[in-house]
Amino acid sequence: MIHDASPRELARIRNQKIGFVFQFFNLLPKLNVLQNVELPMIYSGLAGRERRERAVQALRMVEMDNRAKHRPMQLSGGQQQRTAIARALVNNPKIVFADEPTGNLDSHTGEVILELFRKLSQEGRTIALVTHDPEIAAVTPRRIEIRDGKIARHVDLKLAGLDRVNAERGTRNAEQAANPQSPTAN
Amino acid sequence: MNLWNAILIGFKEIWAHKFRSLLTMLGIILGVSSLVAMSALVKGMEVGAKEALIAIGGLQKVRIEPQDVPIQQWQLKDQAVGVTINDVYALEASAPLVAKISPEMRLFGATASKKGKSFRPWNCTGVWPVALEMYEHVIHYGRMFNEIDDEMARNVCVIGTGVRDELFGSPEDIGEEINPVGETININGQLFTVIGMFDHYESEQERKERELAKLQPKQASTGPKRSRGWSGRGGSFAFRMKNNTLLMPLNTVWMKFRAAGAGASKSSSTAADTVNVPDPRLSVLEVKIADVDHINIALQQIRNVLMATHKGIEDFSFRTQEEWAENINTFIHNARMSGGIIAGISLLVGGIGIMNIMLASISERVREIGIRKAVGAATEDVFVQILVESIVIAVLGGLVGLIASYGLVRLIVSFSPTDNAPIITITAMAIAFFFSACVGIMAGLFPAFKAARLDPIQALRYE
Repeated sequence: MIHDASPRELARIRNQKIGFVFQFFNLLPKLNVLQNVELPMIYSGLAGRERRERAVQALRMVEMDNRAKHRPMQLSGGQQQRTAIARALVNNPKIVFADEPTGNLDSHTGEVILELFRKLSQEGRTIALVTHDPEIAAVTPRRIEIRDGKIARHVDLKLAGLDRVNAERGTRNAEQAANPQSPTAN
Repeated sequence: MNLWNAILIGFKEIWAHKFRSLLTMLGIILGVSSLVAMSALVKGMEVGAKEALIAIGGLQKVRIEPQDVPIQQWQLKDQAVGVTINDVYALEASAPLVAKISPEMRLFGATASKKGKSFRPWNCTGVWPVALEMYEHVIHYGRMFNEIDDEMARNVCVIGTGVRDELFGSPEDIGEEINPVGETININGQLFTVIGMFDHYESEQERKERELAKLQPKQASTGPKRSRGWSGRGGSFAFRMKNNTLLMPLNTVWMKFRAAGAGASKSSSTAADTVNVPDPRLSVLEVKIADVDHINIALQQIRNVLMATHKGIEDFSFRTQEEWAENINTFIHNARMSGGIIAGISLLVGGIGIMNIMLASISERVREIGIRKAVGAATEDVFVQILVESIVIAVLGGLVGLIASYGLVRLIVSFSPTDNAPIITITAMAIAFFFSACVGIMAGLFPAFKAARLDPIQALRYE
């Protein structure tokens, strides 16, 4: 389906079905936080007022609504990444791809971001998170390990009935992020 | 993404790089303003050139001149009557397409003198009072002679300012305007009373030169007093000719100077022809036709009438101002072409400047384009965005250029205040603006295409 889609259809799929979160945030430095979050909706043709409302809503979700008029350069890494997540979510995509979302952040901020992902996952969103870090991988409910381009291991806590055990044990801080690890990048 | 958003983004992008955008626009500004200024200059020239044409009576005026009998009618030569006053009555009676007829009897080489000063007017002619309208003369002092003066063959004349200047002195030289009405002058030994003087005719350009000269302090002339040549006063030929006119009633000229036949060509008319002709022979017949658009039909009508009065002998010919008008048009066309090409090239260079900047701008915005594509911008969204940016630059430049063209025209005027005033036309502005928008589109196409074709994955990786 993806293979024989036209460029226009691909753009639509990127716009409506997929949200992207990058390691380097990839916000537009010329636009402020609100405008960055509005960007996907501009391309889906929403009217100005609705864009504004939904962008503010998405920012509230990531607790960035008080920074709406800031430029990305005026924000910390974590704030930038939360903005990027808001941008990824604003069109209600079927799946969010996150490529090393914590890779460029210090570990504390990284945990905050992971916590956010965990919350989103619990709200019922599908998130594909790519990471090299086994500690981060450990908090996800479903893991697919890729080695040299091949699936090396597939751990599904839900299937094994271990998710509840894990949850009760409350291992580390960001434990319950229900994130399958996926090979898909960008 | 709708167009309004694209335009908004375009403006933001331009605002983000104010200086760069300004420099880019400068090419378009210069192109547009030079295009408008050039067309204003040419328009001014056109008006100036047509001024002279109107001064001598416009396109409607046709001159009927006597000419040699054509070779195939050679045997009828001694029956040729020439252009006579009879033709005037015939044309008045049977050529409805003719609006005005002015018979003329020219006095060649006539000398006018006054108190030892003598002068040969360019044009010393006996006419009917209708000549006033025929040549678009305007009476400044006194009056034109009327039908009674003509009927009684009175010794009266109306002179142009050129004649006045020569016989009485010009206002520039003696510092005051002389009214020659009532003075008596001597024309070829006969006394004539000046009863009127025409306006001083000059082109817009000459008027300005004169006014400018008035403002500047008079330079002390060094050396002995002398005439500095013909080009000094009077300016262009048509106006000088018109000023150097001396008009007398037709009958006066015919009776006092026996000038009949004076205009008939030398080869066909012997001295005997000029005396004892029952009809006064005219040197020329000026005719004003009613409608320029039907000049061919009117000329045919005149020819038919004259062929009847001339017993089928074609001893006359027509002379119109069409060629002059065509020359003006050719000149204007050429000036417009050459100016337009130069201004067009500068507009093109401006367009190349825009393209250059747009290419540089997209190569530094590859990442931005990647991000936009990642969040859902389609190929055509990026294409439109870049294209609109380029058009916005060009259109803004065009608008500023239109304003700048006013400044440019004023600058040109201040450089040479005596030239024909440039006239900025709405058409020229519209064309220049339209071209600047076109240039914007042309310059934006390639960069927009290049940007739109970027692969989002490659673009995101780009550093």
